[in-house]
Amino acid sequence: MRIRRIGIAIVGVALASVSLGAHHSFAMFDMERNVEYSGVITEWKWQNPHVHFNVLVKPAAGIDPKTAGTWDVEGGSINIMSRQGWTRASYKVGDPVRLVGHPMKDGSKGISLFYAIRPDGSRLYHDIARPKDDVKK
Amino acid sequence: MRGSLVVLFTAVQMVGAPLYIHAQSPGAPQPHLEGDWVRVDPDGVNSFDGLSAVVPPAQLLPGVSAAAGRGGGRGRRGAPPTDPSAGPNPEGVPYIVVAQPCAGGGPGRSNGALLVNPDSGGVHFIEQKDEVIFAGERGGVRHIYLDGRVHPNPWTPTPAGHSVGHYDGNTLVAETIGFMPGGVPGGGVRSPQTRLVERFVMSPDGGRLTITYTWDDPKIYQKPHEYRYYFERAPKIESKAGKFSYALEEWCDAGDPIEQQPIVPPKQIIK
Repeated sequence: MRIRRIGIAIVGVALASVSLGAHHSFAMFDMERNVEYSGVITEWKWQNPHVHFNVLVKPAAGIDPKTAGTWDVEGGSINIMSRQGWTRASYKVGDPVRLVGHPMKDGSKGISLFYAIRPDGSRLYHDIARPKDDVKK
Repeated sequence: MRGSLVVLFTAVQMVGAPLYIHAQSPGAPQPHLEGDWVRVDPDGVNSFDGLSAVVPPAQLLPGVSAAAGRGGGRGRRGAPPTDPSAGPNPEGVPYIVVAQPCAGGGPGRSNGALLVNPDSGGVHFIEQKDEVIFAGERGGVRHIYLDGRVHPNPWTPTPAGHSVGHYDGNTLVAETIGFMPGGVPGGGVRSPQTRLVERFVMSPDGGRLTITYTWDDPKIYQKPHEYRYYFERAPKIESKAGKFSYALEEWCDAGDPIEQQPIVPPKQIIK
């Protein structure tokens, strides 16, 4: 019995502790941090399995200097983002963009998108996750 | 193949009425499970990794260690491809054709296992007389048999196990056993002997779905491990033919290097 239980535990831990992901691990992102970035789209890739776009954040008054630079922003699949209201034409190169995302833990210029903030203040979410201030009960 | 799958889903939707009308009380029409659904976050978990944080911790027996992972979130955490057939597809073969994610499925995700605890990909139910077909746009299909059959014995464990079900009023109740060993959301563990009961409960207006999961195994759990996932009907889109929800495959081809592309920090224009 003991051996069996240990076996189950080992298998369970092994199966659950490895970040496999649909396409790659997301352990590189600090999911506990929500950081706002304001910049301009410099590259727009509406593609599976993950939408990517680059954002240039220029140093300016009111801009957190830590957010300055050119960032690779990663979203979800086209299906998942479409259901949240995104389209291929949501943004194009040259468009201003304001977004909230989870930065890379190692400080490199990568962001896991949480949501974009449209000019009217509404949000385009990457995925089904919501902040506490925007949930439907 | 891509086109045919879309046609399949569309055709199923255009049929409209379910093929099997289950037990109904007289009077008001009852909502049906048939159609497209998407999981929602009614708790405000703040990131897709947080979707697992709302699952209560499993109460395991002494000697059974908790699974360290936090399975059940967005779905990006799963199992390593211990099954060789669950590895990446050959170049040029999209994963949906072989019902497994392109980056390796393993017992945690492949062959319908992702539908045991769906992530945020769209899911689709087809209700028929003898079975409910549960399909996901991210690959895999489950069959929940309603024809009174019992679980096969012997049974070779599979990622999604073997499911039988019945309707309890308007609620679909599915019982599944025969899983390959793996993790369970909330730090739980499963073995081929573990029994999962899922109750698919719809809101009176048919717009929301709650799946209650109850994992039970006297060799693993102190008490049944229970938690819930919440879904809404997939949003409809306008077309010349009317308003439809949709289910699209999530195209993924292991031969395409971009499929494996993680974050690539861009060249810095400003210092």
